[in-house]
Amino acid sequence: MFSCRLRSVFAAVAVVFVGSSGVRGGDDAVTFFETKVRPVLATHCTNCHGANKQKAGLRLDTPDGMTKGGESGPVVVPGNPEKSRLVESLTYHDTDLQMPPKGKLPDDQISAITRWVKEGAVWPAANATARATTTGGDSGKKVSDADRSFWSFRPLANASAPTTTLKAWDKSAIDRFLFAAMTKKGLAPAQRAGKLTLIRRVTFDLTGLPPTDAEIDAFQKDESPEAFAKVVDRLLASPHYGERWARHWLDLVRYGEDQAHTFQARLFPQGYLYRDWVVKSLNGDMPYDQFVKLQIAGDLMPGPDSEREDRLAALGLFGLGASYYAGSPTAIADERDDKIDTLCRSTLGLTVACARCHDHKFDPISTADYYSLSSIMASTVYKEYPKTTPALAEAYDKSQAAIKAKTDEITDFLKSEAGRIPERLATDETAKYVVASWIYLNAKKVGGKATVSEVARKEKVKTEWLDRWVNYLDDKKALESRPHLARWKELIAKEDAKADSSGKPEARAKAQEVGQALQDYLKATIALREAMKTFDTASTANKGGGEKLKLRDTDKKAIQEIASAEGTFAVKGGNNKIEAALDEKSLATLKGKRAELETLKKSSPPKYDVIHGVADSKSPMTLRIHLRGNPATLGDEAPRRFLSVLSAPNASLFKEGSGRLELANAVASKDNPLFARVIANRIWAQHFGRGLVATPSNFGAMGERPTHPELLDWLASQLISKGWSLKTLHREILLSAAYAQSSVPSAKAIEVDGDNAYLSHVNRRRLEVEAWRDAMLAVTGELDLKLGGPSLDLTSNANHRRTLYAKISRHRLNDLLRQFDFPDPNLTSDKRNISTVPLQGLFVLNSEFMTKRAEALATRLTSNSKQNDESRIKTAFAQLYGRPADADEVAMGLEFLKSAQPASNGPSSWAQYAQVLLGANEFLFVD
Amino acid sequence: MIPLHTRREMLRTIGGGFGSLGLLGVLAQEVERSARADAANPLAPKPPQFKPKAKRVIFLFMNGGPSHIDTFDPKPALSKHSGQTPPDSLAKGQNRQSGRTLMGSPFSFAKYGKSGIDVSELYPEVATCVDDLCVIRSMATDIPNHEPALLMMNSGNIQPTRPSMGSWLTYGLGSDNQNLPGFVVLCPGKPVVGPQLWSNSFLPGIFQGTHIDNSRIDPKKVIADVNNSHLSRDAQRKQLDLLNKMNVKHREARGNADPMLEARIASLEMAFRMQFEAQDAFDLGRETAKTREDYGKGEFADACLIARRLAERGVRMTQIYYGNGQPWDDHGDILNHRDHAKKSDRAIAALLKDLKARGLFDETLVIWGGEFGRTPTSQGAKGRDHHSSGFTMWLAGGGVKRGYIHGATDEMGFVAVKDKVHVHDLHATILHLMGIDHEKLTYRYSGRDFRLTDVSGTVVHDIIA
Repeated sequence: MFSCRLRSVFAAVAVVFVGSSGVRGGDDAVTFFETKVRPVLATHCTNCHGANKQKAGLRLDTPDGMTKGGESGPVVVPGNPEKSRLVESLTYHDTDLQMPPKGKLPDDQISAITRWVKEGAVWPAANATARATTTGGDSGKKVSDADRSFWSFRPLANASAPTTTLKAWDKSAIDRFLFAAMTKKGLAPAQRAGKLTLIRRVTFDLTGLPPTDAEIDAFQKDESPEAFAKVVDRLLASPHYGERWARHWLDLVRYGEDQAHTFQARLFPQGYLYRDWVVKSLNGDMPYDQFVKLQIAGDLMPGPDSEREDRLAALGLFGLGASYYAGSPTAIADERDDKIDTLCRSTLGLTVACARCHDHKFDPISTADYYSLSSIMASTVYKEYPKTTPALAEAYDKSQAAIKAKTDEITDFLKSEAGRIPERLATDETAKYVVASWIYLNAKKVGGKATVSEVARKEKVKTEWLDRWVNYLDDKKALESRPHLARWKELIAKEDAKADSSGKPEARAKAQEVGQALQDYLKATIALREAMKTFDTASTANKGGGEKLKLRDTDKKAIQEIASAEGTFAVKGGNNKIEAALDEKSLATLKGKRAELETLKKSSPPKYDVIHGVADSKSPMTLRIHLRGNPATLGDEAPRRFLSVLSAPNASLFKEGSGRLELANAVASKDNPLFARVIANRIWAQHFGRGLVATPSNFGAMGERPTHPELLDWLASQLISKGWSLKTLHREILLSAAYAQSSVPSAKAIEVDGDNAYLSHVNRRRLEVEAWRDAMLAVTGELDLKLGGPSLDLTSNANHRRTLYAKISRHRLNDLLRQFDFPDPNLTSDKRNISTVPLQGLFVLNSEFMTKRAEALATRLTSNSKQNDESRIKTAFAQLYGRPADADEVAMGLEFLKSAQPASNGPSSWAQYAQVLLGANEFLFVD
Repeated sequence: MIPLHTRREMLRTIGGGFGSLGLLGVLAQEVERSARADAANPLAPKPPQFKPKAKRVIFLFMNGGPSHIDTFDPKPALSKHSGQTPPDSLAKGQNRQSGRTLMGSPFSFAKYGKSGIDVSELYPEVATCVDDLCVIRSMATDIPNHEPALLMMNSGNIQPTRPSMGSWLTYGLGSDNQNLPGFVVLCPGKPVVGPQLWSNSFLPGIFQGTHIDNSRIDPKKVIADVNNSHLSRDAQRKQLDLLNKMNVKHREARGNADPMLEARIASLEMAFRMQFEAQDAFDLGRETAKTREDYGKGEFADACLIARRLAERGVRMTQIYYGNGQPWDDHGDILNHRDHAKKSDRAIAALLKDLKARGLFDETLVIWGGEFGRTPTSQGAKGRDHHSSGFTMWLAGGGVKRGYIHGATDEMGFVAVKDKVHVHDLHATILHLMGIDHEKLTYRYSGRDFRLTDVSGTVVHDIIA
């Protein structure tokens, strides 16, 4: 659930009044209506007095209806609740006029309506910006032509780029579009960045790694006009491209390998298979439409058997979603919401989840749209696909079945034993419990602080049973009806009611005697009962027809109260409790069974890996709209289909199973203009640090408008016409003159375009935590560039893999990741926060990670004994910053090395210096 | 170096028109740059939306769920009918009530202070402060299970994960001390659910609660990487000086126009200072023997004393979890409450008195309570189960009425029947006291606006002084 942008709505709506009161309502009155009044009307009134039904001729869903009133005239007198029939009916004072008929509303709701009437019954009317909606459910309103004409829903435009006067900016359509917009603003492009800057920029951009010496050298020596294109092509072909760009996608799909909650959380130990699938698909330049379709419906799509596991791994988009506590309808609805929200924001740039409780306030998305998608998710179940041969899977499943059977056998055994235990205890241990109870009750007489558990510990009895014994014996009223406790009663009566006698040996002996007598009695009575059974059987066998022997009712009662499964010695709770109460013989039997279980477990083949995905449920569901998002108040059916505004007016409902495949085809379609626009904008945003639409996951009315709409459409069209190849789009962007600009803004740019929306220079970027950590390991020579595989603990010192391979926990995100703005993996994230805080500084100054890297770098730099410090400093600058050190920098370094004191057992002067180099801004920021 | 705070003030006084007031170029530039750096520091203090009654919060969180009817909400009728089946009218729909019988409190109550507020024998020391308390006897939450109730109380939502209240407060107000985290959580070990309870969720990472395990307070380790074990202060200073020089050179080469670069230079400097200030803040050895004696011994007492030290230093919110796991969860024997109360009573009273003595009480909002209350019926022989439909919390200090009781449960303590205060309402009220309209403290994340109180919450004006 979430809070919607109420305030902005209110700023944009006109206010009308019910009736003709002159009271003027402002924002507050509107807020009050929207939050306190409208929901009440929508939930409790408009079903009968609304668009569909108008009982008594009354409508309460529009200001007009409210003004007009019903058959008995107006129901609201603004400013005067006493005279308003609406308020009167809610109070239930008049027995003939009580609304709603199902029952009186809670007081706070009645007082809200009363206050609203008193303050003038302000009813906000929507203007053109906010959509007229009903809060309670679907307006039933069709998507209008005006809705479809909103910029992001329109088909891709096909504008041609204006030519430019600047030759270098006339080669690419991208540059021509940008140049035209820039010039209009009075801006001129920044000069082209130097080669060293460029190769560093593009290498981090495409692979998240720094360029190597050899790569820099080769680029510098290459004087051909295609030199930079060659670098771009080399990097696009690198397997590290997929690693880098997969992480951008994983942010969007809130990739995580567990759940945020604690108890019985579903874990995804093989979640990495999805991560690796994303890497592999991007490296293979899988067409983007295919990439998304497989994630929605990979299990339902045809393809070669050899690629089956890949198709299933793609399902991680939904398979690795949130799973909450089972059972609650709200939790299940939350799980569906997670999938809808993630899918729609990431691929469509639409906040469809806003329509969960009411029609979307700004975009043409109704609750019917939302619940149509929700029906698809409700017809989809989580599934773990074995990642192994059928034979191995079967062998494992079989052995698991045997283990389960044995486990059940043990449980059954314990259960039957549990039934017998109370009688054994009654005949063997009653006396001990009577004495212990006596001690506790005595102590209590004088306000002693000893607890039952303390007494139990001292007397070597079990707290649970003693607890019951104490209550049983202390129940003075019931003593009358318990003749078997007569001696106990007598014992208590004779003792001083105000003194603790438990310390006196003779008193204790008496209590012992009473307890022993009760125990003997129980033993004898139980034996007698058994003897009678035998006798009865014998007499039946003999057809003797003799008198049927029966225990007295009082004896039966004693057994029931003490020695039965309901009595004071009852064994309640788990198997551990039962086990603790077993006798030796039973314990031996239990041990035997346990040993058999262990053998079964040992002989079982290991659990095969699974692919965490989804599948269609056995029978597809059609949900009803949840009015106000409440699963308990249902509206019309919402059959499975795609969003109206993105469908043809006569589009048919989904027919196949859950409808996921049809959904996939509808989402990832060239006829869906959002699909191409959104991804083109995301690619652009990653390269430039800012999207052409600055809200990459919101292309709706509340999102930003594109700064360069024609360029965005051009990019989107290119993507489609080049077979949805992302690499082609990257190349197009990266080879533009715009991308190669310097990152230093002109004075004019600072003055008129602080956000650099017109891209008259390149935005300087801070490395994400992954790239920063990877770069450090890279320049110290420690980075392990192995690709893929199970996730690793990032806190381990031995982990030198790329940060992409860190375990991603929704429950407890790794501290380093969290500290450095890694997004919360519980929710889709469209861009990284950039915070700059002292806790990050502490990491740079003091962390073990940094000091270890500094040592490794120092060792690497000083290993060549032929080099002197000056040349070592130069090497360091070349490796870390990809440029030569200037004389000043060399001098600063030498000065530091000369004056720094190597710490005893601590870092050498060189290690101290290396830490500075690694911690510098130049290492963290890319121009 | 002029402290950022002062430069910020200066900026504010010149009215924000950078460079337009004829300031000398250098000064204007300096002011503008530090303002930008400050803008990039999300923990810098921000003005509240309106005049606040309280500047900071100390939340004494009794995790596990303390029983309201055994502490601050006496129920003579419950004792009278002890052992009987609860009347349907009260027990209907309650937590797993079937077959359970009413159980009167084993603890005696008495009225204290001028206000005559009832406190049970569990809290004799807190009872001496009762004229400073605002007791809400009509709290309610949604679900009587630990995880959803803990999440609701701490982040206003029963599902993980949303930002916690402390994260929202620091996001909205920043913190008055840049050398300490703005939101500190003390817990000896971990409460059930754990870090989600002080999560920043989608808010920037700086707003996450900094968890400190107060079972062993080592000032050198309370904050990750706060201590440099290798270098002397001088050696480290020298190292940082070089780093600064390089960073300034780098910045100048890029036209001095990038606030991100400036912000990072400043943050490294702040980190350097934080090393010493943070270690000092958590060093209880600096307190007098008398003060230590007043608070008493134990993890909880230490935490309360640290909370006061942090309050003095301008930390926005300090939350103390009473213990590891869920200690107040006395299903088996409600008499165990005696032990928890004993370990917290003296320290709570000492904290309240200490805050008053130091003039901090009026601007510090102290909150006591757990994630829910406990059932008026017994569980087993002498325990009580979880209970969400009516329970007690109390507030003290910063802007709330003193010696005041708000709301009531029914005669047996089942349901909040008078002036019910849902957790959302409590959150709305706390934010209000801190000078924030809970409906206007929003954060836009991936295209949507979120807030602590979701779509609910009403400020409880009746408890505000």
